[in-house]
Amino acid sequence: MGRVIAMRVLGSVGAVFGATVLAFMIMRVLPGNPARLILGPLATSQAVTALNHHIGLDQPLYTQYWRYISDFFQGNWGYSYSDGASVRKLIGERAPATIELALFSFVITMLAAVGLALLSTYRHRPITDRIVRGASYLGFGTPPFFLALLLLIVFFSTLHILPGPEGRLGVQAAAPAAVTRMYTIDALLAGELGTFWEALKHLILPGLALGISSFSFLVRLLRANLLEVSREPFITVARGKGLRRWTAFRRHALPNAFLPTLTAGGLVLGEFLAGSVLIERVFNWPGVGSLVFDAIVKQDYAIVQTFILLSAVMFVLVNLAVDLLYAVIDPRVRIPTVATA
Amino acid sequence: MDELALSVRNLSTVYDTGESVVHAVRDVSFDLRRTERLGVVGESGSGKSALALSILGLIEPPGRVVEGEIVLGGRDISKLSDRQLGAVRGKEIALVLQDPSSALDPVKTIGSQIVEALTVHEPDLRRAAARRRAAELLREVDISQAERRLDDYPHQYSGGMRQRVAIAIAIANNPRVLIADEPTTALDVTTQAQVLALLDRLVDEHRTAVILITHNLGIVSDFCDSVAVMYAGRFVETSGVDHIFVAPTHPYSEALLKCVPNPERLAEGPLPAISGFPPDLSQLPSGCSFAPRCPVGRDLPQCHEQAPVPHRVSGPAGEASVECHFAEQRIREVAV
Amino acid sequence: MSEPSAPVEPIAQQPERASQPILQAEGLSKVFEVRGGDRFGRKHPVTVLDDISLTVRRGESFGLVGESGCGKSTLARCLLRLLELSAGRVLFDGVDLTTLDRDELRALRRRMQFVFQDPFASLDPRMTAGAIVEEPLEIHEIGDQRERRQAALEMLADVGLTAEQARRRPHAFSGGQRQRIGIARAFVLRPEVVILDEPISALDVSVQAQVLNLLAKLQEQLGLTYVFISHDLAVAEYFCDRVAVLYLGQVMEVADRSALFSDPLHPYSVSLLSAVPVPLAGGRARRAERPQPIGEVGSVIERPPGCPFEPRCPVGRGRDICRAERPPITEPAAGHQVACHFPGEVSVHGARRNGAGTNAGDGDGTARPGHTETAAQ
Repeated sequence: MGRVIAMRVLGSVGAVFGATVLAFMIMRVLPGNPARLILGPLATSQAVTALNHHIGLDQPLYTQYWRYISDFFQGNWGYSYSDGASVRKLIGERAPATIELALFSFVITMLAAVGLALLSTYRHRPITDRIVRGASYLGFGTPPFFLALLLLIVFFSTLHILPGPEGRLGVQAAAPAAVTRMYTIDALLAGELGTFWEALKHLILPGLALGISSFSFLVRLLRANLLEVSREPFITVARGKGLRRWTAFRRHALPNAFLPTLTAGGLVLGEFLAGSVLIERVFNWPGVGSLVFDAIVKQDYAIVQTFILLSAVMFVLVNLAVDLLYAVIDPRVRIPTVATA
Repeated sequence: MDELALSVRNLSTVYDTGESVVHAVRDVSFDLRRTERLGVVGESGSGKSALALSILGLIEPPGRVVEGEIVLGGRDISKLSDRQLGAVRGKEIALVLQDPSSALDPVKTIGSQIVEALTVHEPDLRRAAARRRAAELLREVDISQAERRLDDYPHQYSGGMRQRVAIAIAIANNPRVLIADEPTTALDVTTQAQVLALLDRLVDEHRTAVILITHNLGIVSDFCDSVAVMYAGRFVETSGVDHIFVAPTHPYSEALLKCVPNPERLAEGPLPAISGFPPDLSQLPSGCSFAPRCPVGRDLPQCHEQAPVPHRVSGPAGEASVECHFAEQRIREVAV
Repeated sequence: MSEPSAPVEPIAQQPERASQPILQAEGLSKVFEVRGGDRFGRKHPVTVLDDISLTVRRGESFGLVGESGCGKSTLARCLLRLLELSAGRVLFDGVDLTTLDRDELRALRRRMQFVFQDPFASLDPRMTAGAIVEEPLEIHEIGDQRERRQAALEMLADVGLTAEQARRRPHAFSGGQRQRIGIARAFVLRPEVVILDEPISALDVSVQAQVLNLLAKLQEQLGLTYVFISHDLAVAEYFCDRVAVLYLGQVMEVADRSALFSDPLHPYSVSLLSAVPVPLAGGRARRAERPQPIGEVGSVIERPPGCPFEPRCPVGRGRDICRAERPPITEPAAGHQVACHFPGEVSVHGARRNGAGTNAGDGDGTARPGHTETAAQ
């Protein structure tokens, strides 16, 4: 078990290291001189050189790289010249919006996937199964931002039942007192149910847009796992003990089918947390994604650079957590099988 | 004295997939006395596993039991709802399956799975008491260091041990009837012998009736009192165990016995194999289902047109019920 | 080495070559690195085959029997060098396989083939039956396409499959038929030695008989030598001329069929034979007489230093010499080898067919000295 953990952690460190190198190289390879971009086309070449020096762009690559990663891990993420604030502050301000959206989307996606998979496998009804399988193709292959636009057209422009692309709360409500800075939670904590409801309504469409393609994947995965497990002899044995169908299913089939789905779930959550740039743009969601979108347009290297690395690290960490969770939950990983020939 | 533990009448089960209807169990009837051990012998496609599941009410859609009476302890359990059957399964009638490596939930401890068998029927059983009984059961199936072993997981055990656990789970509530579907097929020869000996001892001690499903006639000889040969969903021959070896009357029984390699018959040349293939249960011929492969009836119109009824015959090793048009003739031929 | 040659003449025409050793294992050992159960999951070596020496004579059917962990499947693969040996050597018709390079080995492989246990997994589901049987001919570049197709169809006919069936894919066949395809594939090259790894275990009893008959017929027709691996002792007794009993990677006993099955010398062989249920009347009475096997089949990972069977042996359990010293291989009778410090001390009680129960058409129940019989039914 110790070995398992050690190997996973080592692997993750390696992955992060690789990501840093990649991010670093990409930024250095792109055309355009950051200093000139910052100072504008009218700046003098001395000013450019001076700023270059200040930023450190005239140093040898390995020094720059070392400075890059040591700055990153110390939390010194640079300064955004276009927005006039430290990158860390900017990202910090925007993060809760993205996290809230990611978590919300993850929860509804998982619930929908689990619900439909269960519906399809618990009792053998060919019609239900066919419907579920059809539903699992929803959004399959469609770019999320396109879905986002579609959703807006249907539910906002046409039906007027959900808010439009006006961010997290629109103009009616004010943000609740900041605790977690996730509006739904904070509103509940402050007892402001009206605000809670507003925040929730605004989460629905972007949450759906973000989650649909992952939903498609998860439903099919979970359904396949459930089907496979429900055919295993130990389910029959459980029933043979006298367990009712649902009890046998819940206690024995679900946990075993969920295990492999856990890894997929981790990937999905990691993806969501990395922020969907385009979806945030479509909904004017003030998260990290739209921050990065603007930064790209404005060629603000500091933000983009940090974002690349941050999302890589986040992804790796989420997967590490899933792997470790797996090792804890699945006794076959925790206690290695002593090989009998 | 010899009360009936189980009585099955006209049991029939089909699997209806929409494209075809597979008749897995066709009009099976038998009685099982209190401590009797019935061996059900058949190959793949005979319907023997479907029979086991049908008796326990565990046939899942698209399969269903279409008719039959299953009388256990005086009442007909075939008419019970799934919830009511839950009180019967694991308590009055229990199941042991073939493959020990997949008969236990891999992510739960051995102890919890045994305890589950107990608490399903005794929900008020306290944890400590349940654990004690679980350990007791492990000891009963010859697993040493029982207390400690309760917290182990299935993958830490060998196949033989896992099968013992499966048996412990089955006898946990002292059932009247135990159905074992190929319980030793996946085990080594020596382990098989041990597990059979264990089963032997347990059913003696608990006075349990057993239905042992197997394709291995040797095991039937070692373990059973009576035997039913199953072919294409029907019991084609039922009798006491010795009869089937001394005077196998149905042509299929005879052929089955003959094709088990017997070194003494080496000199006779190739094994008398049964020609043809197992029948397609969705497209059964009218008449006797064994006719196409039967060395006796292959070319006889009677066998292809008329389905045989059970004939009671009496042979050198007891009585038998045989579904063959020529049952009386054949038993006379065998008798010395 | 040599060019792919014409098919080997049947044994009948080469009496002087008959009963010469065609396959020999000398001191064969195989060690695997296995990740162990300790905290760090360190790899440690597990000796799956421990110094095995065997001789297979041309034209015979040589059986390898044993329970799980005995290494019979590994041994089978080592004999063809499908797995690299860790120690020792394998001689095929006098040639040391371990010294050959890839091309030489491939040329030699024509003369020895393998039939696998699982008729489902050993056939490529995307190839037709005909293509599967043609493939070996293609690999060894024998004949042109037309000749190959012809040879494949003939081979399939030999195993009882039609030309029409040759166009179908494995999923359209039953288990027994798939195994025939596997056999056809192995035999199309007209090898001299065929190693069969549990070829009938996955089949129904009635189908097993069909396949055994086919194998016997082909052996006679083509003059083949078989190495037949089985966990089913009844089948081994029926089919094989000589049998080796393996336990935890070591040879326990090797003998002719009649010697081994009626008078086994090694306590493990006795234990094994006693445990096999025999389809004869009076089984329950017989079983009460039989000695029960002791303990569970051991593990190669925890093989004791002396005799591997010692912990379970009714004769040797607890004895110092059995615990400490691996028994040497002795040959108490011609052709009958045994690895035991105290061979012949246990005998099989009344479980064998001789005199143990009545059957229609039974052999004569002659009593043998030293055996207790159950009274005839």
